[in-house]
Amino acid sequence: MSNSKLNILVLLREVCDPRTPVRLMEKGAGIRDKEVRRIPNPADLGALEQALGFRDAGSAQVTVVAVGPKRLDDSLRLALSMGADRVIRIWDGGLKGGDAVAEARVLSRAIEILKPDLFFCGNRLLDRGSDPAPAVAAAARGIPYVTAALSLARFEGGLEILRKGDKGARLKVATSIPCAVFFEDGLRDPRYPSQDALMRSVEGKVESWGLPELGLPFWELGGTGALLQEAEYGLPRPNPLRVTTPDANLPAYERILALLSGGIKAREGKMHTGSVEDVADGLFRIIKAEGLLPETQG
Amino acid sequence: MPATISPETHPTILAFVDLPEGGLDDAGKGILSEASRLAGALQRGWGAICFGDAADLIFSEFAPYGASAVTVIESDVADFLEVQGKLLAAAVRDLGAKVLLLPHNDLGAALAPLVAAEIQGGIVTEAIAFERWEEGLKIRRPALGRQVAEARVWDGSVPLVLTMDTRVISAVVLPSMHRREPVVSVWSPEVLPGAAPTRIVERIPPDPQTVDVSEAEVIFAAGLGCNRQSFEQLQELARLLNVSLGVTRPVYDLGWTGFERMVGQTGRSVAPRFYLALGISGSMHHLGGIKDSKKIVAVNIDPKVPIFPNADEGFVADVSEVLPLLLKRVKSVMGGAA
Amino acid sequence: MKKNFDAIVVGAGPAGSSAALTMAKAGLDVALLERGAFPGEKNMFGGVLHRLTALEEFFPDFWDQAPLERHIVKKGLTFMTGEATFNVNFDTQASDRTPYNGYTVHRPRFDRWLAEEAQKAGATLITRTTVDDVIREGGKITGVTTLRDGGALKAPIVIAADGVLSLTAEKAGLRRPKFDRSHMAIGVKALIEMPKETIDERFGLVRDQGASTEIVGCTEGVRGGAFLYTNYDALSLGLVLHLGSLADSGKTPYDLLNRFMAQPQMAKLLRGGRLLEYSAHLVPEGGYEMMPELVGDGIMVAGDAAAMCIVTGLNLEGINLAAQSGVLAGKAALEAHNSRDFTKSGLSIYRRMLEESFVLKDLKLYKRAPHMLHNDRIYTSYPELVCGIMDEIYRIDGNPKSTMTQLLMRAVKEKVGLKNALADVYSGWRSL
Ligand SMILES: Cc1cc2nc3c(=O)[nH]c(=O)nc-3n(C[C@H](O)[C@H](O)[C@H](O)COP(=O)(O)OP(=O)(O)OC[C@H]3O[C@@H](n4cnc5c(N)ncnc54)[C@H](O)[C@@H]3O)c2cc1C
Ligand SMILES: Cc1cc2nc3c(=O)[nH]c(=O)nc-3n(C[C@H](O)[C@H](O)[C@H](O)COP(=O)(O)OP(=O)(O)OC[C@H]3O[C@@H](n4cnc5c(N)ncnc54)[C@H](O)[C@@H]3O)c2cc1C
Ligand SMILES: Nc1ncnc2c1ncn2[C@@H]1O[C@H](COP(=O)(O)O)[C@@H](O)[C@H]1O
Repeated sequence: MSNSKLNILVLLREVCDPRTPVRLMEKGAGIRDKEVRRIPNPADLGALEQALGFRDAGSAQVTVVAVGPKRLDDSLRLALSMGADRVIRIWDGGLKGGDAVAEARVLSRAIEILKPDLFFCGNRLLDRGSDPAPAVAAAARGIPYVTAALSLARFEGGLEILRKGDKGARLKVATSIPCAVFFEDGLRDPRYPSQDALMRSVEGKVESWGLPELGLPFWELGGTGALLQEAEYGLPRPNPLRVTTPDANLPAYERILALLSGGIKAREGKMHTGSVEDVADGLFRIIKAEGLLPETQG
Repeated sequence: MPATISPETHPTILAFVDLPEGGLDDAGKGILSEASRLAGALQRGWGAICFGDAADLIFSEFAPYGASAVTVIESDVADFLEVQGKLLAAAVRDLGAKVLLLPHNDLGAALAPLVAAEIQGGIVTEAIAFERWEEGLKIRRPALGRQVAEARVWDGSVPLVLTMDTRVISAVVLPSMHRREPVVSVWSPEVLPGAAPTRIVERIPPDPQTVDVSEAEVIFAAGLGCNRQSFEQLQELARLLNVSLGVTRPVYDLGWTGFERMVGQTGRSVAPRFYLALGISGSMHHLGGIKDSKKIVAVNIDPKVPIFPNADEGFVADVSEVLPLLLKRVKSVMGGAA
Repeated sequence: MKKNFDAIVVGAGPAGSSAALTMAKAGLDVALLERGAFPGEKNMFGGVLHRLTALEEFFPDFWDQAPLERHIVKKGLTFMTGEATFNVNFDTQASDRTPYNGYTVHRPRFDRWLAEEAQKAGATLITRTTVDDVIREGGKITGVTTLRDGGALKAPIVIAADGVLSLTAEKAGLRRPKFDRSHMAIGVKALIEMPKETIDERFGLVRDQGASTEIVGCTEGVRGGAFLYTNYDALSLGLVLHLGSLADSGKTPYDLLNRFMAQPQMAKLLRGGRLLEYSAHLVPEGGYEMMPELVGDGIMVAGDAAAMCIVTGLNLEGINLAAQSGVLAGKAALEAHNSRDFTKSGLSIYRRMLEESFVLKDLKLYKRAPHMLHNDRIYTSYPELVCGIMDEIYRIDGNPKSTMTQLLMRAVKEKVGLKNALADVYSGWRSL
């Protein structure tokens, strides 16, 4: 354990509560934001909690940034009340409409200015799922990142991180510092600050950075800096599934039905009745077919 | 890049596949299928790219999807994400590819931002659909908890890194895909991964007994139709077969498992290969969490419960009578194996 | 750390924010505590904000400043039976001129706006903070504790504006810990998305004109009524059901609401709409009769916390009473600070001001309304009666028509019985 304090930068993003029903503007030009409930991304709050864990142990100082309009001051005050040392809100009207690359330029510049040892945020957004901007920002600065992190420990001048792999596997990753770590959601509950901390945060300072503080030209940012332009929103089929190709051997009627179902395949619902022995046999057969029994039993 | 690649096999679209056990898995096949569709939409050629040992690869697996070329990066860098990213980016650049397509699984999701930063391209992750849009593409991805889709337009002027949600890609070979034996080229770059900033030091295989149900491959789930004795038999069966255990709300309420085992709307959404539902009625709240399962088999004493039409196979029987028999059969087989 | 204020307001609903605004404008150092992440986060109501005269003092052009949806120009009352409806509509040009008489609003936006106005005036808004008890010193209330470590905030005056289940009033000993089921109603509401143009067309509206309708006879015999309000591009509709009667019926509010929405007359209005959400909330239906003590040593109670809600089945008023009582509580706090008397008698000016305002006058006027409304005939027989008479009047079946009086008497005899009808008329008259 080194005795110098880690400088941890945490990104706090705002998400829309996906439980509230959405309404779209005319022609899908946007999401009607009147009824949407905005909340801090839970996985980002979890990442903040991870950072504060180091701070509690006296080994880190924590800065939190949010990119967005004035209302985000509320999330940043929440971070202050939880124990963040410094909070910064970055915004300029020109940052609107950016894609992941344009957003990454802002984050990358913040990393360049603040020079964190560790850069934390959630691995996924509650509403939009994957957000590549923080990873692109880290990569652009040449800082390694570790996604889907579950836990981390300091280890010989670097970190050892346990992360999720596919299908329930786990990977242990060793990394040097500086490093970006993107945490899974639900690892730690964000703390519930004391009344004193809350009162302090009400009066605390939220730094506000605009383009001059960033020192970035406007044409690299927002809609003008985006490589991919925004297009309309649409209501998708509920949970699009794999498109099935109709079986060529089926009668035309069945094939049309299969296509009309829009890829949402009804389950077969094949029913079996019979004696208890028959049912046990049937289940045993399925278990075997699924390859759950040892191979040797041919 | 290797000089063996001829211009006609220089594909504009590259599909990255990961070869978990030396061969293509469903995500890999799915991304080949998507690449083939994408190539059709853009009227460009496409190829696949992967890390591995060309000698071990079964290239006939690639043929049905119609890839014109397969590039194999022969380098033992699986534990070094940044090195993989740099190599992949170099290949994309050297092959002059316009689109790199990856499945949004663990490796694909981790590599995509690295490559995008490296080639200074645009990036869209977890896409659910794309369509031709002038010279480029309109790409859709979910927003607001999958209630709506947001769209981005790629005009073709910069390279694009695109990951596809693995839930929407399909390994099915469509009639529009023409079988073709791909031209295989091998690139063996000189790399010294020792200096890489991150390194996988240990790979821990999934443990069905402790893995989160949302990641589980096979789940046996108990509903209120299981009494305590049946539930214990089911636990034993799950342990024997090394599968994960799930429960419904009322069973969780009985305190027989922790909350993390509860499947459904308030519990976890699951997408296993095989879901066995024992004594579960199939309320909307439960079905909502299991609909992405590949195969659902249900046992219930009542033939009219809604789980049946929502299952692939259903057995009308008393769980408390079936489980002991099934357990006995499995035990005898396992006993023989041990 | 700052923990002392001139006054603490619990709950940033209409009552609490009005109180905080009044005091902050006059220079008091006020803390406004709210348990939600922001004011209005979970607050729900039917949808009609009646004219808030109390706030016009601070916002002379209220309708231009507050986030409103539509102003009400059409008010209607509908009697409904399984197959017939009878509507009474009131439509006046006067309602189309400022000051408007009522608006539809979206609570999360309205409550947030009002609290932000209080904040602008200098109040300290503290969100995500739940009050769980009052602090007492020498028999006087001198602050509150919150569900946070070290959560004690102090002030010589506490205003309890924490809604119908007011924990603050209970902890202060101003109301009995248990509610009488017969004093409570439950409101369930559905929000239906519909394009503005469709709403305008179906309800005969233009610009941001709105319509409100109250409906009786649609609750399958459970005491209560329904409402249907037009938002800018959504409809709010719901039922307010007496809790005791609902429990006795064994029906669930959502089933009743679903069946109400499926009635042909409603289905016609809702056609093409998309259900956005369901919500539910309690209503202190008991009105004047369930009112707690309004004042104690160092504490006042305002809004729903003080059961200041008028539910007649034909009308649902709460926010106007809440805002008015909040403003008056704020003024009483100013007086108390001037005289440095925070005792019950020092604060009792609050009660006197309420007595003089429409709040207590109206609540007293409707004092008997709950009793009248507890008469099941209102929800079952009378809608049938009204619709039956109209049916006879309009039916052309070759028989000569009876005179109106004959018709009425016959229908009344059949459906309700003359004695009951007379009794109802009498109690209805007395209650007003
Ligand atoms: C807002 C909300 C969220 C909810 N979220 C969830 C959730 O996330 N997950 C969840 O599971 N539930 C959830 N529920 C509860 C859900 O609605 C159902 O109550 C629950 O799923 C039913 O569980 P069950 O099938 O085990 O029980 P039951 O519905 O009681 O079904 C038991 C079944 O067992 C059968 N049976 C009985 N005896 C035998 C026997 N001897 N052999 C074979 N079969 C037998 C019966 O025929 C019956 O069909 C939620 C409810 C609400 C209101
Ligand atoms: C279905 C329905 C329809 C209605 N329709 C109408 C209508 O059309 N017109 C009308 O005028 N009125 C209507 N009302 C009544 C109206 O909603 C209420 O009378 C009004 O909201 C009362 O305002 P209030 O400020 O007293 O309380 P509330 O609006 O309930 O506000 C109380 C606030 O206190 C907060 N709080 C509660 N406890 C605590 C605590 N311990 N610590 C901190 N904060 C706390 C709450 O989060 C809330 O923000 C309706 C009510 C219902 C249920
Ligand atoms: N704190 C907030 N939380 C949620 N929505 C807000 C907040 N502040 C403003 N809004 C809404 O966000 C939209 C844009 O706000 P602004 O960019 O501040 O003008 C408007 O529709 C506001 O109603």
